[in-house]
Amino acid sequence: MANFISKSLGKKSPLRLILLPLLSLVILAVLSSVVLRSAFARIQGLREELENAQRDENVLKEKEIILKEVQQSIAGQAQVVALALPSENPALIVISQVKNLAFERALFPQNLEVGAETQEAELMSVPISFDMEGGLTEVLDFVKSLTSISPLSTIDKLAIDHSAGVSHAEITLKAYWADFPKELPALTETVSRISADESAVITNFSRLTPATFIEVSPEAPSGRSDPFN
Amino acid sequence: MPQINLLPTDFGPKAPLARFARTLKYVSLVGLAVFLATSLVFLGIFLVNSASLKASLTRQNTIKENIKSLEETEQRLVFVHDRVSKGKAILDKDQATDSINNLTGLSLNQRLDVTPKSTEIKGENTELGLSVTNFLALTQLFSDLTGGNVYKQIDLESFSFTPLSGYEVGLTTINN
Repeated sequence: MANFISKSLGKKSPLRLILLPLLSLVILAVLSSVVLRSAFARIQGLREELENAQRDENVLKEKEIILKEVQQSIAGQAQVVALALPSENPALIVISQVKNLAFERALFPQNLEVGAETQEAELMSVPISFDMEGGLTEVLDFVKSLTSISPLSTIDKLAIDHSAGVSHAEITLKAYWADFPKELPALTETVSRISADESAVITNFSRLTPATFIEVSPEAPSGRSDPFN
Repeated sequence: MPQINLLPTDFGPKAPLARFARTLKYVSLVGLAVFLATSLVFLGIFLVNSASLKASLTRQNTIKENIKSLEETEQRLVFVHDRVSKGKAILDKDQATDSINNLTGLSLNQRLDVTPKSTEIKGENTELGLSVTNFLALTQLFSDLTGGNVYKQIDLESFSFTPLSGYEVGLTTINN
């Protein structure tokens, strides 16, 4: 009877009364979970991308500033370091340096020998040995001058025998070279300024005695003389 | 005018159930509002971040163009760093220069009573053979050897005396 009256009055059953809001609540929960989670993940990804982009931008800005800062001075420094440590075997240049320094002191290097190339990590070296005779003062002065020649060379072994006022020296030098860097770092990779330590080394290199080369200047074309007159 | 419910109370929904249904409905509406508000906030964040990212990438491209125009400078800078680090490795390894400087610092060629016989330098080690005519010159030599703080070790390898030629001294030194 009650059911009949409810139906005839269009009245909802108790189950139907809570079903609609419950269903909408469940749909909302599912929707929130799916939509908001996916949106959150996308925002997270976007934020990471933005942070990376800003980091790269800062690196690039810093790199641009550094490059503009060193633009003027770097050419001279590059020249100094290229002379100090060349990319090819500098044995001939070092021999030329040895002869020049020896002749300046009236000494004559003899038995000049160039040994086999050796590699240590990224550095290549070649031993250059020779003998000489002279006064102790001249020999010591010459040996000291060898410690500051360009390209970079070190004294590997030195033996001096003195008798009757004459010093006989046997000297082995090591001359160094190394391949030039082949690749530039990635565009977004940072570059560093020349540090104080590096500047000191460059100053040290600039004080090395440079090799003297005779530069043959090009001549202007001239008319060919007549060989029959 | 007072409202009169003519329906029997049995026909109406139970009061707690109706209250629960109303609460559910209210919670659903609030949830929907929160959902919409959160979605709007997320959309806002997404749009702002997207715009910032686009702006940052545009700025990056401009800076990259500027850096490309400075490529020669970058090459030189990389080159200088490379040469300096390798050159420094050579200089750090070089011990003989110190040995030679220490030896020339003793000014053996300028001492009247000291005659060098042999000198051998290998890295930080220096072997010296000296002939010293008198004891005063010998003490002066040892004083100079130990006084400059340039050697961390001095070994007296040989020592002899003959009244005719004086003192014959063999030394090995290791740089400080």
